[in-house]
Amino acid sequence: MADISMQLEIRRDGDIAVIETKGYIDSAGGSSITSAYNKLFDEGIRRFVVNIAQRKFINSMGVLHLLEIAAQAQSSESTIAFCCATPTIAKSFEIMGLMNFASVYDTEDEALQAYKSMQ
Amino acid sequence: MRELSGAWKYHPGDHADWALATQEVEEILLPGVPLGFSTNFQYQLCEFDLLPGDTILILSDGLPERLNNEDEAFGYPRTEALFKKSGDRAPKEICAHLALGGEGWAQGRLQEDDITFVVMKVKAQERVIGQER
Repeated sequence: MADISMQLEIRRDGDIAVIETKGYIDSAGGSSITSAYNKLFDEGIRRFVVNIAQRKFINSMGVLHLLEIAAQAQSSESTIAFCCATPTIAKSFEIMGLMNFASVYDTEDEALQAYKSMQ
Repeated sequence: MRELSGAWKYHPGDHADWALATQEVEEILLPGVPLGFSTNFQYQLCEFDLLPGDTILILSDGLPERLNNEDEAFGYPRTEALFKKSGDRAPKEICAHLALGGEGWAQGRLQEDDITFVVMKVKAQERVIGQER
């Protein structure tokens, strides 16, 4: 069975926050990511990378949370990128429209470099 | 979803779909946000031709994302291969074939998401014509 708890590791790379997920991204897990995003946003962070390398599974409710924060980022002049999805999860992101609201990169380094090249 | 005038129209949700024609599988991927999303999203409408013998599969992400004990997902390529193998069977048998494929892959690991299939076949002598837009 999937582990129910969601662990997050938050790192900073300059003004970019990297949220690394280490749990099952369902409704509860997605909610944890949303809370972390909101807390960091309130602290003034405007550029985010969500690294899901440690996750092999995400369900529709989890994607819904990611979509909501991506849309929120779009409307609040912040940006969010996702990275390190497995091929199956990356395709689910595409099917569920996440790529309409956020960029998806193969690696965390690519996501960070993309931000830095925009400076 | 299907118009009596003949064209097949499809509005996407959180699933992928394929049409089978002459033993080939064609994926028609139309991004669509899950129900409950709070932001306006413009869904695409797709129309395409169907021929007698074609089979349409609409599925949730449950089978492609089904994990085995090594945490490996079944994946979309395996899902497509399973469908290709069974596409000429009756819809009920196709659903059973896909479900069994997932069970075999999972090696006893419990299902962690819903797994939904809708299979439709175009009967012989029934030709529908449409155009993509």
